[in-house]
Amino acid sequence: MPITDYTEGNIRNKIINKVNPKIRKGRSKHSKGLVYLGEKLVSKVKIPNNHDRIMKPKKSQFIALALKLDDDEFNSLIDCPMTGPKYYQLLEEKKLNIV
Amino acid sequence: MAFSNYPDPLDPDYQRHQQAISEVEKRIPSYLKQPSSRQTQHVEMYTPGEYTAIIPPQNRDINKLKVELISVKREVMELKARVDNLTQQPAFVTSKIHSLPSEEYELKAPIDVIIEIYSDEALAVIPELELYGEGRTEMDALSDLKLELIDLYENLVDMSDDELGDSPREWKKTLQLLVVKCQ
Repeated sequence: MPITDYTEGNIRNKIINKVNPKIRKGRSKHSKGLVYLGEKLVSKVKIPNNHDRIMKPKKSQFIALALKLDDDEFNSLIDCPMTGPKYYQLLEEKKLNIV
Repeated sequence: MAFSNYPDPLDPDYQRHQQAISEVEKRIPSYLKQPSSRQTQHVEMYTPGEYTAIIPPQNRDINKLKVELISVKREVMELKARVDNLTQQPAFVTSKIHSLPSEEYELKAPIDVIIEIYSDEALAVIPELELYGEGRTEMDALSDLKLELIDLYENLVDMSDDELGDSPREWKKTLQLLVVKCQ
């Protein structure tokens, strides 16, 4: 199933609250979230601004890719079935490919 | 056979005429029936005592037109959906970035960039670094991408390889080939 249409604000909130990355503000207009698995940095994700507009599918795909999630897993993360601990459990299961 | 305006209901010919009208009305589909009894005016007598009921030609034409109209409407809806889909697809162009908006960093070589242009936004992408910039125009997207590049470099360059997973390690390696910090 393709990624559902979500607002940028909704995606932002779920990343901050569930993924809980280490947030770095740099020179660009978006903050970056650094995703750690244990002591290792496994990914970086661009954190959307708090807008009501629908995130373009391509940008949602980039975020899903950055979080190491496929389309269904990303939908689950944003739609609430996937909690933060479940997200990291999933990353652990994928560990061999990312660490 | 023509009847006067005040036919005799007891006239056997009149009764046979009325019966033929009823037979015609039974055979007309309900959605074609008009409020008036215009369809039943075409009952014809071929031989004395015999009545043949026919469905008026214009009703057959109307039915055929209705079917064709439904088919055309369906095609128009399908075409509209296709046009909507096409207008939402981005245009793709390739470009290069040759410099960075910073006195601290320089590029050792131009970097290939893919730009996706939507009606209301543009994305500039470096797939190898999983990096993208965004903006209202292609220029804005490229400017944002350059800043994203610097941010990524600064986040990674001081981290040891042991602290990095597979992807960040590759990004760091690529960035070190592309970016130099000015002294």
